[in-house]
Amino acid sequence: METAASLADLGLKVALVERSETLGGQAAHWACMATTSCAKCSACLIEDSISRTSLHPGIQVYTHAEITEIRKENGHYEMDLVPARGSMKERNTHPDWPVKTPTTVQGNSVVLATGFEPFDPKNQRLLGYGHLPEVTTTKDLDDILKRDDLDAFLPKSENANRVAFIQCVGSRDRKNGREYCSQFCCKTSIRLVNRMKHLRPELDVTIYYIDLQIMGKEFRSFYEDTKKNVRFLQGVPAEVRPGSEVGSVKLVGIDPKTGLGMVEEYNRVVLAVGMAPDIRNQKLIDGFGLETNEFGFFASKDDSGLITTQTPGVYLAGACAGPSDIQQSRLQAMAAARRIAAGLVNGGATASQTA
Amino acid sequence: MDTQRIGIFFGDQQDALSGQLPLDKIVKTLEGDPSLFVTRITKSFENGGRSEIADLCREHDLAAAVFGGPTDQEFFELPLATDGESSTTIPLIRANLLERGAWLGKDESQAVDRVERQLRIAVAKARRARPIPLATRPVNRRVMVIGGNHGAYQSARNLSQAGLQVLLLKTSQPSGCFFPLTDDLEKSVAGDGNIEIRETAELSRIDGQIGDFHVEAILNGKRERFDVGAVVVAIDARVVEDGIAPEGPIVSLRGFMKQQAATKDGGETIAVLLDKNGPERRCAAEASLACAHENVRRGGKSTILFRNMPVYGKNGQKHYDEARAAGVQFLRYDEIEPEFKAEGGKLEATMVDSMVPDRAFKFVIDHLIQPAPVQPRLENPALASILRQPLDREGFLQPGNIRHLPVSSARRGILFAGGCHNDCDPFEVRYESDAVTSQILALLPEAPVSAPLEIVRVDQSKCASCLTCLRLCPHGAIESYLEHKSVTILSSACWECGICAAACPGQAIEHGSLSHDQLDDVLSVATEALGEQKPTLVFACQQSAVPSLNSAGRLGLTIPAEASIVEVPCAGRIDEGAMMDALARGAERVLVMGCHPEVCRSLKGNLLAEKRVNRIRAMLKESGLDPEKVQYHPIANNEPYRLVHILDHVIHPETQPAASAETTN
Repeated sequence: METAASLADLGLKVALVERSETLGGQAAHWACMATTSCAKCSACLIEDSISRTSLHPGIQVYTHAEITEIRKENGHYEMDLVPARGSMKERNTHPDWPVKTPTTVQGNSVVLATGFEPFDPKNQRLLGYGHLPEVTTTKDLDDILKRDDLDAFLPKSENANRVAFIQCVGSRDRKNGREYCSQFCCKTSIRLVNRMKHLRPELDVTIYYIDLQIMGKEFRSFYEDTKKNVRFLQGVPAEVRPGSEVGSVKLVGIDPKTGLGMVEEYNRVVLAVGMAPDIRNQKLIDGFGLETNEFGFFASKDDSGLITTQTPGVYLAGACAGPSDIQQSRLQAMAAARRIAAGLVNGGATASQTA
Repeated sequence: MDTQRIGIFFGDQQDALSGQLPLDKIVKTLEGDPSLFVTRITKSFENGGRSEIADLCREHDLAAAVFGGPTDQEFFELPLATDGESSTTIPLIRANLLERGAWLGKDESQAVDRVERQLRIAVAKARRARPIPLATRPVNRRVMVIGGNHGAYQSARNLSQAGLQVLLLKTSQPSGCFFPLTDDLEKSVAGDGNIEIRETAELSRIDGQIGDFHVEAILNGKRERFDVGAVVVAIDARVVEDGIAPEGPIVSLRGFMKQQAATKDGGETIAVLLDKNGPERRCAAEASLACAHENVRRGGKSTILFRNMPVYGKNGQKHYDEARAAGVQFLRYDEIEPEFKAEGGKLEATMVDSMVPDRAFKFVIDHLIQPAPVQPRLENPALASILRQPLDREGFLQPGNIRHLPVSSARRGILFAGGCHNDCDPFEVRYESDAVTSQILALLPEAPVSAPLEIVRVDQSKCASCLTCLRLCPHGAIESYLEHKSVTILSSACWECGICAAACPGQAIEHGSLSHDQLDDVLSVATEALGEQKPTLVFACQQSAVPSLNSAGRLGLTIPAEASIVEVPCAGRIDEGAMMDALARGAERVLVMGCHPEVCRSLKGNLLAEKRVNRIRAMLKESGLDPEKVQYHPIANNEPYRLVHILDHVIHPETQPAASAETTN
């Protein structure tokens, strides 16, 4: 969206192709993290972008569209779109459904901004997600906070207030081929904790981490403030076991103070899930002749050019090229727009693709 | 009179609401009013509906248009003169019924009344709306870039490649960056005919607006004036080298890197100490890793002592893995900081590894390398006041307001790149200078576009030149001419927040989409009781509360029937008078909903609104009245559930629990 808007601001015509029914991607589901002031989570910028994009005269939005074929002809790209699978009834009755029948969009350049999938920790049996009801993820917690219903996470109680966050779930994990930092989970957890403590000062929260990534504008001072009320412990627990009663679980790990094994009991455990590549990208990979990196994200041409790909005229922005948070993605989108504008003759059409 | 007729246009999208919004009934009521022209457009607003409305307005000679669908536009272009020379706009008022219809709940009779009231509010606004003239302003496509390192050179090169003229002002302050400028970049900028480089400048003033800035700087003791279209501030952060001896076993990271660059081989036994002054900055961590790795490559031995290993950024984890694979040793310390003792020209390090906390171990190194702390520059406060943009929480340039991040500011045309405003590395700076370029290209188009002129304007006959507006404007959009004792609003700089209009003690400033008269008329409609029900007047900020209200509608949440919504461009547009007026006219309560602190697009509109609310509350309390009659509640544009909880609680405090994170003011 941000690329589309930046390009359209430069006077280019943009077709924005989106697989789901609404714009916004994963981040559109994130909750506001403000407490007594804005926590700079930037989730609200998605709402801004949606209205900016959908009302921009230079942008044609195709939501709920699926790409069936990608062709390259005379230096421009053509993509055939069909209505994405989904409710036929809705598609036929919704007057604004952009892709009712198969259609074709053209563009001189293509920007892929297909985003990411949140890591699903179900297969990491030892962490208990999916079979221990006390274990949840940062994604689920975000949904709960968006609904303004913290009770759904942990009912108010005098003596069940212990919450643990486990960082780097699905990130920095050599065993499972995910040896990369997901960039956003440290900030996400710290903001979530900060918001939860604001709503329920009585919560007793511990964050287990590998290396805290205290990066980005004003985040150091935000971390210093949060640190006053939250326990940060280096080293992530290896296992979450059922506790002595319902509503409690045991974390098994190494105590950094003694170097010995430790067991600590909590009422809730939140897994900070990282970013995983979108496995539905194969059609784009084949269609545009792209490569993926060792983790499955779109590969950029070289280390320094996250934006450019092996295929001329095809660019990347956002987390589809490797984990990045909202502000980083915005920066990449603006940067991609500048590179496309530099390479295009005036008035060229451009297709952007998001998922 | 025909020319005074107002058009009401329903979008085709209303069909989607059949069953929820009894449009036909509303249309019937409205059509009894001869001053209204009610019709339905066939296309959606963004796909042709806009020009359809414009054509209909022209055809039927309408004075203003009310559109019952989503749009973020308050004015649109409509040439009135046939010779094509002068053009003006027809005011377009948004009634946004699509979502409103949904949130009215299931009770149809209530829904008709309330949709009608929302429409009448829009019509009241439309009747007093004035056409806004359009003008094409010449744009100066020369850009000033300030700074002497990566951010500045990259930006200058990108801007020049994009076809803009660049004036690169190098400041007198030394570079704070760990990474020296590459020869390639330096040469290509120096040899670029579109880039003029001026050395050792000290900024002293920036007047004017995007496309037409006048910058005053002191160059080698002489005051000079430059006319440019935009300004990119791309200086470095301050790297405090004090306290680290230039010679001896303890060396600064920059010193060691210089040494490394000067020689080709010769590895030593070194330790790099990170996180000594809090979490290490991104640039310092990157540089430390690179220099430790290089030392190993040269046959030396490198140990990095750290609390948190930064693996941030695209290549963070990769560089860390590569360094480790090459043989760089990583030791994590926790509470006990490593100690170093001089020992015959070398250093003996004592270190407690966090994994083996019960014993300390010792090793000998040739050099201890310490990255100097990266801090805001000392001249930042002065620079911030020249730029008229406050510093962030940590003293760096550019406030941490996410609406203007990553590279822009609330003052259009003032942009930032590099260490002066952000935690960055050379990789990130490249993106920043790309982003700066695309933003500037959009702001300074080759063919100037016509834009509404003076949406907010000063009535000179009422202006006492007290300069309240100048002090309050967050966008640097007010210029004073002391010699004429007057102020002017710079149209291109103005974001139309209306903070000045609300604050002006003489009511000399008129806001084009919500003037004093318009607000007056809107309040008289919005405070009318519907049956027995006295309304709760909600002043809803268009950047935060309005999108959340609309989302609430889409989600099918029910807004309490008593809420009467008045959209405002920014909470800062509403002054105490308007709040009191709403109460006096019969509103049960007044609720002002704006952004959370630090995220107002106009930086402080929300804070001003809250302050005003608090003043009224204190007054009410003093007079023995209920202070809860007037309330301020911060909300984001993505909090529909919380918004409904707040409204429920404010309107029915006895029965509804408070929304989360509600701090009583």
